[in-house]
Amino acid sequence: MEKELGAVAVGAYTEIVAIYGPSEALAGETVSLRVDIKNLHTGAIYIASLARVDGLDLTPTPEYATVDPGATQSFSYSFTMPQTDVIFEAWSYYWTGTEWYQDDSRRVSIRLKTLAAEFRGFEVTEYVAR
Amino acid sequence: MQEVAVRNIEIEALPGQKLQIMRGDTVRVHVAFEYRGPTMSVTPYASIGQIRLGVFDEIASNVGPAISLSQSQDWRAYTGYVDIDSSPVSPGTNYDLMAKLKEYPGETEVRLTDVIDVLGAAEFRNFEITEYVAR
Repeated sequence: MEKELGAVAVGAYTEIVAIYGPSEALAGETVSLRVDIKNLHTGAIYIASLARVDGLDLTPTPEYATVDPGATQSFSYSFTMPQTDVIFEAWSYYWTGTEWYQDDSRRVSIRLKTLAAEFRGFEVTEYVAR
Repeated sequence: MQEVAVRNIEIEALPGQKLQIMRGDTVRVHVAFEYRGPTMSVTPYASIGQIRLGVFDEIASNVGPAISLSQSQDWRAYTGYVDIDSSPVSPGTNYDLMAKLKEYPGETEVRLTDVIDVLGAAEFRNFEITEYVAR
């Protein structure tokens, strides 16, 4: 079932507790986001994250980390804002011992910021006969 | 006899100062402004004319090279120029100057009054014999 934007979906062993970033950005601007993932398990586990925006898969820094029980790990993403509103969707994974298991996901929307053209101080600075 | 070659002479005037030109001279009008907003291109426009009842009556005008404006949320300074051929302007004094960005006339139009005098070609009149005397 499609989750609502920004809705929190708790996974079995991990939870994306927050996504920090701008709600709007200019076209061409570098958008930086931070995804915080909490370990819900009773022991330390490997947690990884991936994300997708505008059809583009994103890899965070770090790509994965060992996270103690109850601790939260941050994953940093960045992408270039396209000429349209976008949805940033992030996933959390934990290592089962044999594979990365997709556990939790969360979405946020980022609006395209538009600028109005503004002028000030228009003047003739000199005029020259040639 | 030694010949003196002179070229690229420019007579400059700052806003408010009067510029004397010969009819047919090109007047280069320099403009400056600040801009913030999306990426776009604008066209400077300038005209020599006369203000009558608040309306700028254009006599000679032209556009200058397009100015490329970069996307910015902060104010950025730009300059441009327009070359106006003064040939259509009759010899006379106290012509006015107007400049603007063609795409944004309401936000940018400026006028300078009584800043250009136009001299014509060499002219003579009333040549006459005033008397003739035997000496």
